[in-house]
Amino acid sequence: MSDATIAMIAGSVLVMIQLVVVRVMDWYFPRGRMSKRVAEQSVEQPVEHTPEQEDPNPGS
Amino acid sequence: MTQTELPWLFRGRRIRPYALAVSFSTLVISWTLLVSRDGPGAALDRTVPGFFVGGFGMFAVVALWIGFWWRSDKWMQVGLILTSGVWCARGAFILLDSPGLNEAVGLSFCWVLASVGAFMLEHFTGASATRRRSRE
Repeated sequence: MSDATIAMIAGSVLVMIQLVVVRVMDWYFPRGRMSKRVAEQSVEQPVEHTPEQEDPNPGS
Repeated sequence: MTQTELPWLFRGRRIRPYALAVSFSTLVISWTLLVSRDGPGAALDRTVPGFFVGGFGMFAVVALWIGFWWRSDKWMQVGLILTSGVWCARGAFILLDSPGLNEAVGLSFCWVLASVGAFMLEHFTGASATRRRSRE
């Protein structure tokens, strides 16, 4: 196999690797889910704990 | 999310600066491979793989210009991914033919990195990705 053929194969392999990476990332991180997760992180607020209030009239 | 286009229009079309630059640089090496046949590295001159690489380079240039003129993100991505392969092949040609790093190999590697990054950016954060997210 000549050097030129090897180099041409290297270029083809790089293209195929990119296609595989894109497919895998699209499957593992669907854009809808990714965007929702990003949106959730941007609007996340701390949960406030309020003490429970006792019923002032337990018998009524 | 970032976009890959400038906020200006040329004849009603968005400008993508990297795609424009890589289309011209790929045109140059395709010309040297197919027409002048005197590019760096003897392995490129008048060889069948050299013609293949030059041919794919020309196809990538046409794809990028089609993507720009017809506002097609798909053709733009095709052009960008092909330019990464063309520059990788060219860099590998020169590296194998004349062992050791030189300017041509280094520049080819830089163009490979830029093309891979631009393709990924275009696919995941480009205008088509933004439209898909807005529909979901």
